[in-house]
Amino acid sequence: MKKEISAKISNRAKNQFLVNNRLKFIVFGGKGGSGKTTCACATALYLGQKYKTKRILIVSTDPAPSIGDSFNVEVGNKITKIQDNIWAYEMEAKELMEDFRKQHSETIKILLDRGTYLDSEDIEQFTSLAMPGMDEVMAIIKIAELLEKEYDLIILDTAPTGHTKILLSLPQAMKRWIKAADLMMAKHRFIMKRIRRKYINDECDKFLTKTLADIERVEKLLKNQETTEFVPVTIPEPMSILETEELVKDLDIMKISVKSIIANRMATVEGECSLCASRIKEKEKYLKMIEEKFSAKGGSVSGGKDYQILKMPLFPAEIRGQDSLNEYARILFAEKEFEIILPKKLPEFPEIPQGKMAKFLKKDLSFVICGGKGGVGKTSIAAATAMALAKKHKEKKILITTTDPAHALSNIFDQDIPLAAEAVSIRGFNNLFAIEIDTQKSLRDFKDEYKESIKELFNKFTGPGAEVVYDQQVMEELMELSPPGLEELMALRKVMDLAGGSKYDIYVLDSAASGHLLRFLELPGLVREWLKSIFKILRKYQGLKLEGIAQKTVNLSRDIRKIQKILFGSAKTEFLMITIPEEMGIREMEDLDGSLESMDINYNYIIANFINPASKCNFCLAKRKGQEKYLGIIKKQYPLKNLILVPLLPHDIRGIDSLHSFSKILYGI
Amino acid sequence: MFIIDDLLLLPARGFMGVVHKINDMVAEELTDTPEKLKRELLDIQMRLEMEEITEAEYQKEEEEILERLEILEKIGE
Repeated sequence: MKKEISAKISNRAKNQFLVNNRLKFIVFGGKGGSGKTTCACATALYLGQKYKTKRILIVSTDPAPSIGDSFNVEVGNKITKIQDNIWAYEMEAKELMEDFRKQHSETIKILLDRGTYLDSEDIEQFTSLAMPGMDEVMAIIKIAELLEKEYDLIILDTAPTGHTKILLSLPQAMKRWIKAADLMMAKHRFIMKRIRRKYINDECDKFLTKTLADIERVEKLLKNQETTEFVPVTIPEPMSILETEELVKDLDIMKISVKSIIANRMATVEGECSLCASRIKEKEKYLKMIEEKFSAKGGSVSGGKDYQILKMPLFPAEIRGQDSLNEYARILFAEKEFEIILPKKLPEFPEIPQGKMAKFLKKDLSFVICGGKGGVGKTSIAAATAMALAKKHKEKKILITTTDPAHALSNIFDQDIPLAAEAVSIRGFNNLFAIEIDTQKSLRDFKDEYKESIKELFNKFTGPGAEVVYDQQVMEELMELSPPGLEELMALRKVMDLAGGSKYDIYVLDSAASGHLLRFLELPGLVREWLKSIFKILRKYQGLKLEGIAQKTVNLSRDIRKIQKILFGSAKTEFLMITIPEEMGIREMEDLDGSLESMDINYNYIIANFINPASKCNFCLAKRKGQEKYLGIIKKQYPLKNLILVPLLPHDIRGIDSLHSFSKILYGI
Repeated sequence: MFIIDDLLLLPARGFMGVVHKINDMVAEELTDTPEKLKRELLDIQMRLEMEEITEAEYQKEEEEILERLEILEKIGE
């Protein structure tokens, strides 16, 4: 056996990681694929052993959870025992929503009856509809419930960054909703007082009081610097660092405690190969960047604060199961230094062929969607695809866009692509454009557009001179609130606007991580169900002359029908499945594959990214050996798809030049 | 129901406003006006979006409404 020891990765010097024994809530967050789940699970195991009397629960709010995969145990939507004092739980927002509906729908119906002019038939119809984008809301409510239970420490493994931000800012939004609901009750209380001279709290009041108390408890816990700590996990690459920077800034504004940042997947082993050497060099450059940005001296983000940077190595094999998680934890908590033992003789592999996707460019497509788990390289493959299309079809106009709340196009093209309504031309091309959709602004515009309509609607119902003080307040509160999924819907509508104008011939969509991609793809159907209910109401109250609103709603419905036509069952749309040959990558792919089939979205390619190329280096060969196992599974499970291997490159992809060479590797052009 | 509550709370002037409005609406329903036809057009658009009618049925009804609108415009001239 050949033994290679690297002393480069050691967290021994002044390690202060999660030493505070009063901690009750630890949240792990970061970009997809940064290793949040591994860190969260390893931490749970380590703290479980350190504090044997503490009851620890590890929870995932990711719509595509992987705690079970990491522990190598079936977990799912029930609290599952991992060890004596450790439990795990993967929240399933849909089921939580169903439970919530069962428990509270009667109360909510009464609330709507008191607070709106809709009759019971209308209300029945609305409350039976699915609510898009309620995942994070359900998560907050569930966390509140878990806090009441007998756990001393809750460890939260969150969904990728953009959605973590939504989750953390939700308590405030939810408090506003409660206020709106409470205002709906104000008139009822006023009238009851007049009639009975005294107002007695009923089930609606109790529901509102309890929900408000629950939300405030979660909010208080999040902001409690003594008992809560947020641990951002990043990897030494520009996009991940950028996202972490923004995350830390947001956390600071929200007054959520951050002390340490984990720099994960550091390349360490000085093997005999140039790929390893160049990756080490590159990673070290980015590590330096991390250290500078998050130090008291250098960083714009740190606000004079020194964050502890913990380095974790890239392991030759996957971290899965309790043994390897324990090993991981010992390095993270500085009980030992990283050392690896590699077998001397490993099987060798042939070169990865290039340009295997050239045929794809010959298809007559108008929509290309790149999707997959977080961190599999969707953005770089989407960018290279858009570029290859632009090179191949000089007469066509190509637009690349993203629905991911964490914007990355500027970074990959190394060009300023402002959040705006206008597409930007990509340097060096006259037929390639990019647009980053400002979801916040689209949502604002949408609300403004409807604000007038709703005011008009409201005036129609009350008539001149009516006592409207309560209702005005309710209306104003209602306009401020919006279900979390609405931002994604607005991104969708923007894409739709672009498609409707037919300004471009081919659209390349860099989508959000798979869990959220599914949500995004389900949205058109859900929204149309909502619109159908709204039409029913509008037709029922035709006498109120709501034509303006009706016309707007018809337009929206038409737009959505158009995009459904483009996305589903169309030969001109193709989905590119991007994955990495690891257990978790493959698991998420299974879910996505099932949904794509059921939604009739055309897809023929599976792109396996970051494959270690032919090499004589032991580290590379060990990595490749692990990858081969999963490549075999993919081939067996999806025999009809074209499996494309994409090599791990010595440098990260950023800027036009590196995209040009990447497009050559993929498409031979 | 709240409509009732509101009616009770409405000052008399507002209430008369509602009565007039209802009167106008009834008169309007009896004869074709451009506004009424536009409303009908909107209504079939909504029904199409609700999938209550098919694209073909929509086309047929739309044609009919447009014809009536044309007649109305001719009378106007």
